[in-house]
Amino acid sequence: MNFQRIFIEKDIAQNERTKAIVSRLGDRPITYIDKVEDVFGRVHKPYLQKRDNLNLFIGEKKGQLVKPAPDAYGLGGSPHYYFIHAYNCIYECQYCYLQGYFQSPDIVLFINHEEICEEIERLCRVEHADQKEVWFHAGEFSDSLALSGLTREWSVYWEAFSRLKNGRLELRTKSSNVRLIQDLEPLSNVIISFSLSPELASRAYDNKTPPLMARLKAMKTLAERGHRLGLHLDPIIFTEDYSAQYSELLDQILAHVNGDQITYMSLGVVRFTKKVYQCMKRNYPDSAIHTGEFAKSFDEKVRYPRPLRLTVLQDIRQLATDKGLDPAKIYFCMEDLD
Amino acid sequence: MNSPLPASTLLVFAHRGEAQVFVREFGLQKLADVNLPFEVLSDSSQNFLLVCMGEGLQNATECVSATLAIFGQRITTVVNLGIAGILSPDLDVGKTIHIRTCYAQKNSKDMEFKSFSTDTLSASHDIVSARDRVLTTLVAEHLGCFAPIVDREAWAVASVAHRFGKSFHCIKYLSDRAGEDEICQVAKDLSLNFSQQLFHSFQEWRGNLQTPLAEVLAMPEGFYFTKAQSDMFISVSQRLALKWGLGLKGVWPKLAGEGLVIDLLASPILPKKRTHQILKFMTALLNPFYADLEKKISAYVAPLMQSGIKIEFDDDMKESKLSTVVRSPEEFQKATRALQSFDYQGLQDILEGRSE
Repeated sequence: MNFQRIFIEKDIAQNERTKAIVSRLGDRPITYIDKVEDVFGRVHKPYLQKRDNLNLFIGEKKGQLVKPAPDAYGLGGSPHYYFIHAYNCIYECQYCYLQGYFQSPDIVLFINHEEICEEIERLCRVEHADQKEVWFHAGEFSDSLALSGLTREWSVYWEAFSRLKNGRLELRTKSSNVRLIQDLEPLSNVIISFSLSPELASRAYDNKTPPLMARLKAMKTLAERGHRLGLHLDPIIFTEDYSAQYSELLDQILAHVNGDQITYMSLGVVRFTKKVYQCMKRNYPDSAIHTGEFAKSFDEKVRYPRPLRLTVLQDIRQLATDKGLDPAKIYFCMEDLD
Repeated sequence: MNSPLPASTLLVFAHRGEAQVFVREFGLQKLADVNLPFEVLSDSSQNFLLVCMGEGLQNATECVSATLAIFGQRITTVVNLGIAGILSPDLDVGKTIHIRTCYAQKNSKDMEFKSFSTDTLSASHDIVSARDRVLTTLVAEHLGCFAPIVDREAWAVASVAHRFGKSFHCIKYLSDRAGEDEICQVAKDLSLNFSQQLFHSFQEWRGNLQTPLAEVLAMPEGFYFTKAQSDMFISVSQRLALKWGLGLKGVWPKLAGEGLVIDLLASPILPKKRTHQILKFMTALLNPFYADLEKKISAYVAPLMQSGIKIEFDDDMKESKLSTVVRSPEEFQKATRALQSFDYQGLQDILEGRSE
């Protein structure tokens, strides 16, 4: 990673995890600061500066370490949470909500994973002891695996979830970087989920992400080693030939993994908060996403109008079930179905 | 020089010394009858206005605000030029830099959250405008967390330009290392050199400016566009250019070759109606899904329409609103019969993607 500078909280400068991350980055200018918040987010740093002026912050996550996930997040019926082990992403997907979420594209890595795991354990054992499944999602504010070669934190979570009967961990990723997790012992309650788009869409919109084939190979590697997989065909960006493109994508997926190795599959059509929509227009004025017709929808987010969304979602679900995927495993993400 | 630089560009400097080559080369002279506590200079054809605002954020805010309040109608672009200090070991003294984003110090502890980016797309360096002169390495290190270059005015100029809706650019000559060098006397002694460097960079930048969008896309003949229709024509043309992978200039020639457009151009209808038709056609080309949906809906609700019942949808096309005007018991009966025989489920199937 080509970080311009590294900012490290003074209190954790001597922490072994911090030192290991720094040593993996090689020679970079380091500035010691009291708190990440002293510099990160103090000024509005334009999103696209991540291309040539990306800084790295290393600190400890304070405050609420694990947060309830929004409605319609994951399969229904169980409590869903997300935890924050990092802010921001090295990829540059044109529709990404991170461009309007933080006031800086700089990467923040938190290293107090044991504390995050303690809170996860508390939620499973105390707060939701009566629940059969309590879901915890990583990758809400940062790709789960993209920097895992640098951060190497997942063994800590594996250990925690091996002890949690009702805990479910989902790592969401657009990365193909499974080198460090593929050798961890597969756990039935840990699911690595891949967000995929058809190759043409991926090339057009998922800037700097690994090629689709590399991601499919990563899925195959994990499946062969017994890890459980999830799929997110999200966000779907409408094109006139979407049906053919998604049919091909599903064929490619099923050529790499068996349908029964996929624990669940979510389908979601591209959506933006009003702020992110404006950011995207400014950051990617030449994106073909702008050829679509968007309107304010049920939750104030900007989406394709409902007839198009429902047509696309139903068509792709039908394609998936026609190819043998269990319809019970397929759900629509962030959609108004009432 | 044949340049698309807008007719009136406001050049903003902190000190007269930095501006001296611009004053000489552009033949700028003090404008008479301007009741401001600072001089406003201009050339005879008023392509440029130039002000020297003094040092610091407040002086900059006051000066640029007042100038734009008076001359704003004819100024389209504001350019801040001047010297700046270096906060990063990666930069060298003696370079001229185009600024990308301007930050500012609020006080000794805090930063202004707002930042302002320039309209110089090729710029790659940021600047932080300090409240006071940067005299110690401690302050330089703190400011260096946010940007590699420091000055005293850029953020304020950018802020006012943004408020007035003006295009903003910023060019800085790197004169010293902030917190290390004593710059004041040197700046005075070398001001001619600094001004020459700034002028050279400014002229180079002018020569590379892009032609504005409206000039790239000439409006076709045979149509009458209102302002809103003209904006829509440009917007849909831009989106069609993206969809077809063409430059903006290529959109109209491609459209003009379409049979429907050839017929439209030949038809003896009023230019206003022709404009309405072409925009509808272009929108359908952009999003055939909606054109198709509109056709399906129109056909399905035709019996209602014929009975005087109007149907409208919300933006998301989830909710429909039916309305009618009733002037007699017969009209009421007609509308009631139309509603009773209307199969709403069929409409919902169309709206929820379940119809063929």
